[in-house]
Amino acid sequence: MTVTKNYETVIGLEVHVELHTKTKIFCGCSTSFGAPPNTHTCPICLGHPGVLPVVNRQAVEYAMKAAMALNCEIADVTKFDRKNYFYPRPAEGVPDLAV
Amino acid sequence: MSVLDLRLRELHDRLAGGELTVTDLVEASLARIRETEPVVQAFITIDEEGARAQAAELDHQLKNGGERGLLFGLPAGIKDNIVTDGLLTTCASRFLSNYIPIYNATVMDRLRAAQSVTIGKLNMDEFAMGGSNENSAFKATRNPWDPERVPGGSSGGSAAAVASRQVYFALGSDTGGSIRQPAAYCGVVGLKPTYGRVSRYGLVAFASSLDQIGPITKNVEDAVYVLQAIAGHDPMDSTSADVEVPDYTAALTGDVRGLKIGVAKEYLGEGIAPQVKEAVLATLKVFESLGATWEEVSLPHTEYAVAAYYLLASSEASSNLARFDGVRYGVRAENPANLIDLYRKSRSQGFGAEVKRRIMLGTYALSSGYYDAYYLKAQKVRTLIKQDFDQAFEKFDIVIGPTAPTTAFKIGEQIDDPLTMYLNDICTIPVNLAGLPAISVPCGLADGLPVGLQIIGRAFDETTVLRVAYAYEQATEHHKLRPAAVGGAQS
Repeated sequence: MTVTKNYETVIGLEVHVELHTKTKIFCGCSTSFGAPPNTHTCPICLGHPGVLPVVNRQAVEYAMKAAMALNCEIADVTKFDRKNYFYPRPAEGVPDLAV
Repeated sequence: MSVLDLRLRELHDRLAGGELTVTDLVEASLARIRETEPVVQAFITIDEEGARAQAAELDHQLKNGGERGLLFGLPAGIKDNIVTDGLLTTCASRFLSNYIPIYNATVMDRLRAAQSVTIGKLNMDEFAMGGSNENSAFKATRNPWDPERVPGGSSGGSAAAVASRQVYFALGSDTGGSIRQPAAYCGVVGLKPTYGRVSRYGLVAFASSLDQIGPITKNVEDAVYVLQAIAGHDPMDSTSADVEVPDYTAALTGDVRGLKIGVAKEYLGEGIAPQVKEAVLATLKVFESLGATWEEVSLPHTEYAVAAYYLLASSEASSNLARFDGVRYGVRAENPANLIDLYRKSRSQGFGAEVKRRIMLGTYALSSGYYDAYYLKAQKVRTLIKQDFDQAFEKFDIVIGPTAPTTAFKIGEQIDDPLTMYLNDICTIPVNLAGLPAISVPCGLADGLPVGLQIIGRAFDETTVLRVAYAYEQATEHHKLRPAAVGGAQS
């Protein structure tokens, strides 16, 4: 087929894993289950004006461990891009973690 | 003379000696506000009850001989984009006209530790976008030197409140000149610290790579103490620098012998009012007499700074202001047809014209296909501007120039001409793009209106900036001038 002749196939996998961290990815709120609704929240995960996300060190370490186990190359520098469009999720656009 | 005019150390001596209470200070501040606020209109929220309660608490502590914080008892005004737990924080926007925060900005926690008293929240251009305070959704603050004129912006309420002695000091924020330009227009001292020196946690973000919180004060010495109280690393802000905070009182020497000053050629060229230029050049004689030397220095990419800034700052703003969707806090439009309509209507009703203009500009610049031509190119210009300063600081200890091209303009004079308005920031914007510390200090009057001298230093070298500013201030009388329009004698 001409398509395979003219193009190189590159496949990227977006892997979602729930990491066993004690706290959330960008704030200090607990990740434990079973608490009453709206208790494991804070100004940061509610996206209040003025708050700043700080990435969870443990989450980065877990992600790197997984990447190493899968023989992936670890990037020296990781950056976050915000999602800039409106749909039903917190609109401050803080994204998922990518290593 | 009001107790609010006393120097900090004398004030603290009187408090310690029992001649004065914090309640006296707070009442003096509130009385001054009652007297001058009908003209100046610096405040969005005045927290009389909270301030009196805080004063009583500190007086109690004073009686019991507790240790006094660095800013003990000083009445403070806070720009309304700095989040205050339980106290209305509007950013001078209709969108946040009902927003009562559930947490404190890090600088507010630090002020609490330093034991100043928060009197209220100060007017500004909406979301810090503007240089005149005319973009406030609520009121136009007036310049205490001439109520027909703007106080500058966006921290115009902060500068006007300090100039009219309503508060002892104020906090402002500076993204492209928003502390220094209003300080210059109102004849007070305004310091923008190095990017990363002061935590931005709890500063409602306009342009995250440029925003910095800093003090607005009557004199350089007070700026030293306020900076000391608020500076330093904060784990809640990943961009706050883990750099040691020196003892800034070391800057209060008055000694600038052997200092090498670079005079920024491009800040004294076209578009700079002759009287402003004259006032700034006159400072060189003062520095010479103090044993410093000066030479002209070129910052060749200055002419591209304003264009680069409005692309970068607007792009960051378009992303930062996305959180104002009408769902969780702030105003929510009534009777939306669906979710998208809720977003659209809430934002259409909540934001003012200038904020919308910048969101559109930024969203356009970040759009697919335009990113390289606008945002990326502006980032490259930013690097060149930083290199201009790097080269200047190889040869000079400090770079000086005017803070703003003119003195305060008349209310309404430029509001329909955003390009002229944007050019008011030509001397201050490059400093934000390079992330450097800079201060504006009064250097005389032109037709009865204050002119500001800008002193720019190396990254994290606020000490030299403050030392030079203090030496100049001590050698001159300009900072002692007070606006007649709010009842102050002209000396």
